[in-house]
Amino acid sequence: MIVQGHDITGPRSLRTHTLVVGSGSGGGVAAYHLAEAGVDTIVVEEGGYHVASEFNQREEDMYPMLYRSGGQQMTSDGMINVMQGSCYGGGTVINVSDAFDIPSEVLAHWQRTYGTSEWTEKSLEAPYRRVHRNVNVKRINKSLVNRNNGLLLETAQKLGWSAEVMHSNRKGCVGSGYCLLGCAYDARLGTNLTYLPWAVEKGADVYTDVRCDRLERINGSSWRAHCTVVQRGLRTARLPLTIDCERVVLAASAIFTPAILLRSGLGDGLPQLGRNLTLQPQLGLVGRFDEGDEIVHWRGAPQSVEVDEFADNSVERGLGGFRLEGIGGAIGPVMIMTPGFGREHKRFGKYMRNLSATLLLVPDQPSGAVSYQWAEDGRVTPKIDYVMQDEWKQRLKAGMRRGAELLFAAGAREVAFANQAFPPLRSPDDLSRIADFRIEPGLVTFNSAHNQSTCRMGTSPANSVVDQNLKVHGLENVYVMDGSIMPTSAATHTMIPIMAAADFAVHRMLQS
Amino acid sequence: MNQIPEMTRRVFLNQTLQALGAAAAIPLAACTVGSVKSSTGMLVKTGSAAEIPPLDFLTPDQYVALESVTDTMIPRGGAFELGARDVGLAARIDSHLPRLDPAVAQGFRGALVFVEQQAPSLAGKAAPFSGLSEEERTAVCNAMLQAGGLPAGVFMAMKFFSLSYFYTLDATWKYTGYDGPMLLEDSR
Ligand SMILES: Cc1cc2nc3c(=O)[nH]c(=O)nc-3n(C[C@H](O)[C@H](O)[C@H](O)COP(=O)(O)OP(=O)(O)OC[C@H]3O[C@@H](n4cnc5c(N)ncnc54)[C@H](O)[C@@H]3O)c2cc1C
Ligand code: SF4
Repeated sequence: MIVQGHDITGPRSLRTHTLVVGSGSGGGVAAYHLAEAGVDTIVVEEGGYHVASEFNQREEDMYPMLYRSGGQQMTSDGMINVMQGSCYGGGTVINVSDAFDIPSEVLAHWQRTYGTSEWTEKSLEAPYRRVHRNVNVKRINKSLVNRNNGLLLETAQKLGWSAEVMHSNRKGCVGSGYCLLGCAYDARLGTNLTYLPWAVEKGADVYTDVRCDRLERINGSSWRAHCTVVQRGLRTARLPLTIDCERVVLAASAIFTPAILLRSGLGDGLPQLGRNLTLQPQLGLVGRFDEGDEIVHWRGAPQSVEVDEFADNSVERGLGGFRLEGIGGAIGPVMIMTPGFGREHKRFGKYMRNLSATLLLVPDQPSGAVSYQWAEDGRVTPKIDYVMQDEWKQRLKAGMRRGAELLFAAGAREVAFANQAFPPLRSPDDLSRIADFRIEPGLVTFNSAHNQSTCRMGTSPANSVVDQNLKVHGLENVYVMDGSIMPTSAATHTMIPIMAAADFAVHRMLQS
Repeated sequence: MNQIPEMTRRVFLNQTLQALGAAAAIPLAACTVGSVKSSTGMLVKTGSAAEIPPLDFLTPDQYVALESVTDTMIPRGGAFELGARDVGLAARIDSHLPRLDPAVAQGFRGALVFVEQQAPSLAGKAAPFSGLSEEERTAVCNAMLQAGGLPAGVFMAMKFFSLSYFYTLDATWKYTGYDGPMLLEDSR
């Protein structure tokens, strides 16, 4: 059964065996496998329940409906836009569907540095098999590769750089291009269309518009979750709701899962809780091509090609180097990336069909922390502090250079970066100017779509928050199954790694 | 630049609504020529009240400031004729603000206060932003960018709101070639 908050008219007390908090990549997968195994399961999701017919492909409507803070959640210095889906299905409803597994070097790095010896390619084989099958992971059909992405592929090949068409979790995609705004065609197989309805079929109940505020221990090892039914949209508190349960699976994302543990007073003895945040900040590049050269970045699969020539994964560091990928589908964000304002800027509007949009993905090391303020009604505001490392900035600039080289080689007449005070490069002769690119709040805006590591997995409470079964150290029956458990950035795209991690942990839990 | 910048900064950082509400209500020390002090203490260009449409979120003086901002970001002319004023961009933004996260919406209000009252001094101007000529407003925006930090962040927010709500408006599409949503029935 799916119960939407507006159908709840008075305070409620519920009881279940396992409570899953959050319905995104981790929560959706966990809920289904629990229900499939016959475990009485309730899912609570703070965001609203929405279906394809509501996805009108308009940015001004979809960001407030489907994203945390309408897509405006920022780091505390205002430099990184930390984007998160917040609705039935979480990030899987608004992401661009790229499907990657955790690279072998990253698993080896974790084993060596964090002692996660049980997380191996072999032990993850079955979880990946199930996840890939369940969300239909396949290489993106060539017909969906638009010119924006196709140009990257062709030009990289001309330059002798490694590049390929990515895999994704779609079925019946018509290439509308609006993945970031929810798929109106039910073609992107997020948990909203797969694991969650399957969990409901198996008897799970999903409560949307319900925020879990804190956990209270009752009767020894059982838990009472204190929740709030919120008003859809502005999320003001409406009604209290409690759920008594034997077990809790937290899957509220790397930004919000630590908040629940901290508010519950369960942070003592967990010094890593809320720390080690990775964001994988991404920088946008816009190329302007000749008037006759139509790119139309907003049609076709928004992100289908990756240039991985400069990826540099290693056992010592995990993910490294940088990657370039096409991106499109939302005109607002692409226009914002172009520098300047006034009449001079309007040329970017006039030549909208001739603009290409590319993302430079630069994997980071754990570099941030989340802390919180709670309003009286339980509403939580995260303070996301993040420090860019010098080594990361150097890789960023190397990536900007390669990205601009690629776009000029593809025929761009000018290349702009998402920095308001940095005039576009007009030719390859300008590449040296990248050395002067100022990385300062207010001038440059990065995007983050991959928050991770604030409850990282490891061998002891001193170096981690959860163990290799994803159980919180020292707490009976409290698990975390979302992006926060990754010791470092798991992959350039984290949906499939999180799904596989949840699948792995739930199957282990059920076996024990 | 006393309390307002700090409070406005918090807006962007998505912090307390109360602080931002306070920022939006801080009175100015002095009036300048060509402007009046409104009920909320903000300086507004005289003579503009008659053109103010019914508002959902902003006060009339904040609306006047926003209209000047959007006109500076997207003036008439240039690569195509249509500008922010032609499409009622400030009113469109106002109508969307109540649907945003209250901290973001309040922050936007605080940012407008900053642009109107504080930013002109960065370019050596004493009048409120909405009382300046287009050339002067452009100079103020450039000065905000050059200053970095909070002023640049406020500039960025103003640009973000102006461009996002302008280019997603159907009336602009014939100038940009954006062909709009491709909903289910369109693909059949
Ligand atoms: C714009 C964008 C594009 C992306 N593109 C890709 C891509 O192409 N490929 C890829 O692999 N990954 C992509 N990602 C990343 C991927 O979607 C996320 O990493 C992944 O969904 C995170 O999973 P999660 O389980 O950690 O949390 P989420 O999927 O974020 O789910 C957490 C859910 O918990 C809910 N919640 C939070 N707090 C509470 C509470 N207290 N009570 C109840 N519910 C709560 C939230 O509302 C949310 O719905 C993208 C992300 C974004 C934002
Ligand atoms: S491109 Fe369009 S049809 Fe395809 S998955 Fe994305 S939103 Fe759905």
